[in-house]
Amino acid sequence: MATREAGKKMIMLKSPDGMEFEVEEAVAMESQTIRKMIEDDCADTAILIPNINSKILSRVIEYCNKHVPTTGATGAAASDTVAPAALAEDLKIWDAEFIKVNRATRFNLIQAASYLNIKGLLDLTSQTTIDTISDNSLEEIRSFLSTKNDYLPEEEQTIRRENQWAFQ
Amino acid sequence: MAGRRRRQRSKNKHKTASRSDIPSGPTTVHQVPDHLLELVLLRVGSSVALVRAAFTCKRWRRLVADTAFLARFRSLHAAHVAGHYHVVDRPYREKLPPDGNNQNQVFVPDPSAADAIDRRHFSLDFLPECDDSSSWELADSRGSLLLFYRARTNWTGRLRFPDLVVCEPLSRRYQGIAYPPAMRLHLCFGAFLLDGGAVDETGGCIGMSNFRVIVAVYEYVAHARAAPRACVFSSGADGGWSLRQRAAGSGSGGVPLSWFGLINFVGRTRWSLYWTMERDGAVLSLDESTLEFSLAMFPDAVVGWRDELSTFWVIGGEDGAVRVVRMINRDLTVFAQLQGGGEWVTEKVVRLRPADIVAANERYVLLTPRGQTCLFSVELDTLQAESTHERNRYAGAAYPYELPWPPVLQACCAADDTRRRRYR
Repeated sequence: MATREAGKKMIMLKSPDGMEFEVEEAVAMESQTIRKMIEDDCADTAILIPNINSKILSRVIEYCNKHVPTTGATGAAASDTVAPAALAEDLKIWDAEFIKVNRATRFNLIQAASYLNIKGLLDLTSQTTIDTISDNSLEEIRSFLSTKNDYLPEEEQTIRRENQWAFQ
Repeated sequence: MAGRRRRQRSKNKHKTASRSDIPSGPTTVHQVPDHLLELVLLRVGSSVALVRAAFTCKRWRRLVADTAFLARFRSLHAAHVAGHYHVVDRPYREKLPPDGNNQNQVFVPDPSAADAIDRRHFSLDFLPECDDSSSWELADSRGSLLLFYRARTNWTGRLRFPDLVVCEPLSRRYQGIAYPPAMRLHLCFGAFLLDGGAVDETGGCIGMSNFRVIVAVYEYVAHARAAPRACVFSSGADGGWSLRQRAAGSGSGGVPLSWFGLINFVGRTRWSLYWTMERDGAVLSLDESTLEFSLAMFPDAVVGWRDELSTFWVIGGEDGAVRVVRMINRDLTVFAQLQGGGEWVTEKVVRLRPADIVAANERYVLLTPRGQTCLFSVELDTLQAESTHERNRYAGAAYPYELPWPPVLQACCAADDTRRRRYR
């Protein structure tokens, strides 16, 4: 169901909960998975994105929209006027805002980024999770990720003894 | 981004998928599949954070302890240098504030180390005590290990084959190594740590259970001549000392040594150790892979003329080239040997005040201005001289210290297995 509108090729993305999203092809092709489908000509009708619900898919599209290179197929010299460094700084701030989501959404975004193969989004979501790990104590990590400590007390003691230096 | 339109159209009215069919995706970290969690964990910036992550829960530990994961992690992150142990040369020791601890060496953390580890974990107070007539002196570092030798305070004993200790400060473990009885009276001119011989699933990383120590021995042979011999200690159950054949003193291919007092360690590259013997270009080298001694000739223009009172240091570099740093009048000069060709070129020159080189490594050169006792260093990348860095407080060699690798995560795996068996 690819349509043409204002000279831009459009692609329809469908989430399994029945939402359809019409996006520019260039935006959709931020996803390497979708890019392959399009290049292999498997995308004549709407592309069903399994496992990614509409809420997450709309966030992913939001991300791709922001990150699609500004010198698109239209040939508009959009990026010439803006310094690349300023643009990158702007993107960074935008990313930081974008990733201020709850834990469940972030895990969903990681999964979506992995399935759709969007490197930038995977970097962003993983790195945010990792920063949590690096900056916090074990107890804080556990509570943040709502993982349970399933070590026995004596196991935990052995671990701490063997790696005392890593736990202060 | 202005002018870009995003069209989004909801058509969910005519498709009434029941809510229960909707895949909700992972909502806790437990529902994130292994391969994704691995991708996340590969991004952990250092082995400290990785150890912390591994102990979040057993599943994470299992993922991190996997050898394939560890190999991938290592290929993405270089070894983490936590800092340097600085040997404090004797005249400088008295100047340090006495705090009751061993002050023969001082740990200086790397400012770039992302995860600050409390300095007390680098303390060496767990080493076995020495009697009054001896002390532990730092000889070398490699990976997360340090090598110490027992320096005897009486003059004649100082040069004899010493007792050794290999230790890992962070895990506070050490192994004492007694000198081989047959070598008791031999003179030594160096002791170094090498990777272990065992190639296990961790890729043969150096650690307390996998290391070698090499001691360079000065041995008299016929007609009052001397030759070097490498004595190698290997860790492990079937390890121990092996006394290699001396590099034949007579006949062809021999490596004759000068008078013992003239032999001076002048640095190392990735693969070899170097000593000067007399004031000329003949430099003794020891290949770390073959454990063979040989004589290398350095051009006079590089190492200085025989009658010049010059000191030079051999350093390596990322590219594996052999380099020489030397003060030529007021110029700190770095020479490099071109790969393959053997030709030497002047790589860097920087004008300083008259000074002598105290120590040098791949990253910086430590100098002392002539006639003074203060220190300053020159970063080799930028050629900037500076005197405020903490490293400039200690005159002596600096040994890089890396965090243990692979991380110790095994104890618990074994515990899991036994418990499973017990309750089955």
